[in-house]
Amino acid sequence: MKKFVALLFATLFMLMAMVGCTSEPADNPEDETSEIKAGFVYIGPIGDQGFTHMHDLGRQAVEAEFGIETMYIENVGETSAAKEAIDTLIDAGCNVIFATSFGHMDAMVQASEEHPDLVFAHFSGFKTTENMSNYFGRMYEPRFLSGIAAGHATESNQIGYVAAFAIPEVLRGINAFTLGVQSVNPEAEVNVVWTSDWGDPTIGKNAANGLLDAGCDVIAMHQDSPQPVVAAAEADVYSIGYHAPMAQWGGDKYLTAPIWDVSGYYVNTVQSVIDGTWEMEEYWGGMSDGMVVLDDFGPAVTDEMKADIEAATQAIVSGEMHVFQGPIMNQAGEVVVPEGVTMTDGEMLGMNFLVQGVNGEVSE
Amino acid sequence: MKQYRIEKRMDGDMGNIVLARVLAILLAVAVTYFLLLVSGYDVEKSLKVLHTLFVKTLFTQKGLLSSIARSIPIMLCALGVTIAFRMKLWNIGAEGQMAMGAVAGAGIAMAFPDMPRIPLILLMLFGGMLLGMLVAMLAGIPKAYWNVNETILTLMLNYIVLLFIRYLEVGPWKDPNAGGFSITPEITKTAWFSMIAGTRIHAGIFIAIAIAIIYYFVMKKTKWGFEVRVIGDNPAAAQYAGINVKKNIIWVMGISGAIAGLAGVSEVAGVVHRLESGITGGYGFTAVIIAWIARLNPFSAVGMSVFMGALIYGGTIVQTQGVPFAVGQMIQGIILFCVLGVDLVSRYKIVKVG
Repeated sequence: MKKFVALLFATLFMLMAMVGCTSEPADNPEDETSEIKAGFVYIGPIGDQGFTHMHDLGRQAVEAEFGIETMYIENVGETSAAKEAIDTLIDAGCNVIFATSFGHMDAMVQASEEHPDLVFAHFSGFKTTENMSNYFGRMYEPRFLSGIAAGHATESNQIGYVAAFAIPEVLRGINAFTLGVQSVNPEAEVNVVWTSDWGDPTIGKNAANGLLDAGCDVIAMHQDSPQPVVAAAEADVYSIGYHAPMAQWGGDKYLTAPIWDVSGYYVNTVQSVIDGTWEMEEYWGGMSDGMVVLDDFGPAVTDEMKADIEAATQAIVSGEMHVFQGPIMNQAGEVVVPEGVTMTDGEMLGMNFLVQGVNGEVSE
Repeated sequence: MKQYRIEKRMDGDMGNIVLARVLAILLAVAVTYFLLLVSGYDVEKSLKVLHTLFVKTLFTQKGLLSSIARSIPIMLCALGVTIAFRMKLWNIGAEGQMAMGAVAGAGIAMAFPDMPRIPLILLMLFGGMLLGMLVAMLAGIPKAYWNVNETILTLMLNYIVLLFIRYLEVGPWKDPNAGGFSITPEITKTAWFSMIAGTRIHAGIFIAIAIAIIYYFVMKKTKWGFEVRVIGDNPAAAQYAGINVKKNIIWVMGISGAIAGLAGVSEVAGVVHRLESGITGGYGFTAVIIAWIARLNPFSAVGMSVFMGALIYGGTIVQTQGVPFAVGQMIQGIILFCVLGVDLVSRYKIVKVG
């Protein structure tokens, strides 16, 4: 018996050694320090058809533009996994690191302090260091435009909005959308349900079904998966996607979606690293930069909607109009932003109220 | 004519256990290799992935240290559930007990930012154990007095505690200086666990190892340890022998939760440095598998946790070689399946009859 065990051990170690020998020469990160290698830390799977998918398109754009190697680690939770993933990318030779979720922030700060010679950029956070930028998009701009389509499309004047968490980013989206709705249809109301979840497809779909049962005839959403759009299509109701183009799920009544186009930011950042001109920045890109855009119009978008949306697009991009310019009232009817005043970036980033016309509460 | 029969082996043959482990790993390597080949990776790439998963994570210094770092919360939760399982109390609430430990750790650190380091950390550890214990006892008391199913209770309590953290995060503990973001404040630096320089391993590892040693001696050398083992093997006999089964159910549940609570404190003080909703990361559930694979042996649980840490860490680094997360998860599943399967089979033997 003992001999057999010993033999097995010997075989196991030999196997390990064999596996070891065949592949060792392939990884040798030390040789490649002069080259630029970009690493991406994703919160979700690249196949989420939404948020992470759009970031991954940006990664592919970097690869196509410069022909450099990029790598990613997906499904990285907001725990010790974040620092582990960043360290792993650095070990693999990455010298530009992007992390795409709010909860990766502290791990990014720590890694940037440990590796002052590398470049870090963090999506959606508020901390920076000497070698760590942050970047985000003014999603409220295309949100407003999608609201115009919803305001025209609704007949019951009840619009449903599947929202994740009551944090400023999401509140900003709901408010911008509602202001867009009201700009063409002051009667319409936006009904919010909170899912307390970013990406679970089942939760997203159930929430949308609840809104449909309550009589909503347009579904908009702040979720990572396209399931609310799927629910709307199944009920033959208008839908507005988010994050990524979602026409393939929305059927005939898909209107449009406010979506990310982070490729430009990723390409520009890597370009500046290659050129040696990279500097830390706090970047909040809008439609004029192409960081956020409105998806192509679906089949249900009428000429009237198109005309209104195009006019508003012009006004926003040219700076003639701002989504959060007064007068803006909260749900209680109190003036939050007086006439003639526009919210500052700081105020928008800390938004903690819902505008009049939204049914739902800020505290989940 | 000769007949064959399947018979249960007697416990305790070390040779057998080692043999089962080695066989399981060989089988897992073979199945993984096959899976990679059918997934469209060529021979060289598949071998490289195997090398990363099994060699880099355990047999290189950097890899082993990273695997150990990942294993600390799993280790503590696994030791916690091990003691309950030893008494056949199916505590699958380590996730919630760990989360409650994290609440206590972060709460105490936030409440006493000016306290000196040693008393503060001791208080956090004590608080984490206490709250972890209370959550577990919420399931233990109904079990002891009314024979309510502890599996269901501990499972449901997990969700309650996780939602409670979410409530703290968006409500009373929300950091007013975080620009509206729903996060709790970072705890004072004096409460941070020391790190082993150049690694992600924090002082929690020493707590885990100490607990394993204490557990071993208490179970083997004390009267109370003996009682726990007797209740686990035969509660009726224990009752006749005058052992207070009810009291032991409550205490063993409580201690189980207290150890899981330490996992929560160590994640707060060693890794995340604040309370946040994702803090338990599923470790409490992973711990159940680990305790099982380790056959409720505390030292084996420590070793198996490192093995599990290696699997998780391996799943991360193979992604830099272009292997998607899902494939990494599949490989993890196959390996655990092989280990559990071979383990089960190895408990039996075929004997000739007649």
